[in-house]
Amino acid sequence: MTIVDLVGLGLFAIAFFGYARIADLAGRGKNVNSLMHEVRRTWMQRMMERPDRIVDAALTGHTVNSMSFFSSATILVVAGLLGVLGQAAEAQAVLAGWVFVAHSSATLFQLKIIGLIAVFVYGFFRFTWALRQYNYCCTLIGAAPLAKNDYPHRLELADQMARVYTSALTSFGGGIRCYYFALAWLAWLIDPVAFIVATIGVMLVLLRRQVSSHSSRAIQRYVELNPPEAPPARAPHD
Amino acid sequence: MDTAWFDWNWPDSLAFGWMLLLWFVYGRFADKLPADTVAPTNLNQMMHQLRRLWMRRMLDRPERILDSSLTGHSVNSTTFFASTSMLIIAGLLGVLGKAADAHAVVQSFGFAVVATELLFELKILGLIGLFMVGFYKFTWALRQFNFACTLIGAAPLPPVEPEARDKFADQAARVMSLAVVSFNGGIRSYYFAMAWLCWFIHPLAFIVATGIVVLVLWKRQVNSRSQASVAEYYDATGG
Repeated sequence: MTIVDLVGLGLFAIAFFGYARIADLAGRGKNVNSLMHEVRRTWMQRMMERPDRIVDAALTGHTVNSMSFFSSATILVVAGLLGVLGQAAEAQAVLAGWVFVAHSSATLFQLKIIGLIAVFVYGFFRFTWALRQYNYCCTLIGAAPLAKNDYPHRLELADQMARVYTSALTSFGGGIRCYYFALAWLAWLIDPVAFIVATIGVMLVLLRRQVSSHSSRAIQRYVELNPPEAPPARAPHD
Repeated sequence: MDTAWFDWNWPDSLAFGWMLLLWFVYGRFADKLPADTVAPTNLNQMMHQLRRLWMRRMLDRPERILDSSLTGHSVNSTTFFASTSMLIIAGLLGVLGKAADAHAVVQSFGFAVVATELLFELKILGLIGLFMVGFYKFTWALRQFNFACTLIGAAPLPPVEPEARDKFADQAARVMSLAVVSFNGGIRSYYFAMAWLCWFIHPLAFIVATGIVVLVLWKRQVNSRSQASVAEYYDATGG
């Protein structure tokens, strides 16, 4: 392992584990994730007003489906990578045949594959936790008081539901991010410099989506036009 | 390379025993469904109380499409996981068929512990065993969710007498919570399988990984953002 490998690995660790914090700093509280929490508060307040909540169940169901899909895909990817590990010598021979691939020892190559497996295992934990939290949301919607009830804590209930949704989607986002960063990790198999460039590239793409994409601007305008009633008791992630 | 036909050492016993112990202890903590009058102590128990509330709301509603689609979401994810378990078992049987090659590769790792081929195969068999437990749990969860669907379909229409409403809602919620307990058990066998993978490298790595898995699961139950919000929701509904 050379100094360039170590720099790449360090940068990867900072980007991978520090992403949420960096996105918060970059967006100054106006990134898509925090705006979407406001939209979810509005959504839950509307849900409480509706006598018939089929639309809310259906919307929740779409996300549940993609979460189960990703959980299962992730575990299959882990299984496939274990297969690569079992054939590490052949896989490395194939890569070594490419002229542009930097030389690395057999042990380092195996460790890189194990690192990739670790990223996906982490993703699996994120996805399944997201799924569990979405199942909690289903129960919370089912248990919400009926629209005609004169129930005093409506806004507070809506707030707490929105927080469980946001927490679930934070986990889901963390799982998807494992896939993005795994792609950067793949560049390490070619060259440590490529790894550094790819990690920075992934980071820039993700941050741009959060703070200055067309979607983020449109959502910001939407929240201004259609804000939730009453300010939240607390920030979503205190 | 070690020439002993079977080189199970004391760290292997320790790691295996540690995993069984943590699995059992965590299961007792997370799967316990106390009587409905007992105050909940963790997230799963709080969710059971909220399911009791949900089933009461369901009985108050004349139109129950909402409840059927919410139950449907859980049925879908359970089906999905049941089928994934079968695919993984098939893949692992393939590995077992090529165990000699895979064993040689793992032995060539500079960092993996030396083990005989027999022990290597036993570890793969254990992994298959874990996913079989998962498959049984997922399919049983699926059956129980189907029972819950029937219970919702057969539920009396409003107005339901208050006493009958409470009795019915408590039982329906219990069936649903038992289904969720089975589903959680299935996912848990996946988590333990992830830790089991570390055994191929070293028994100590397996011990550490099992500990981390249980810590993560435990933290979700007692001290996560979702747990805090669900607790406040539960308090706002009047406990």
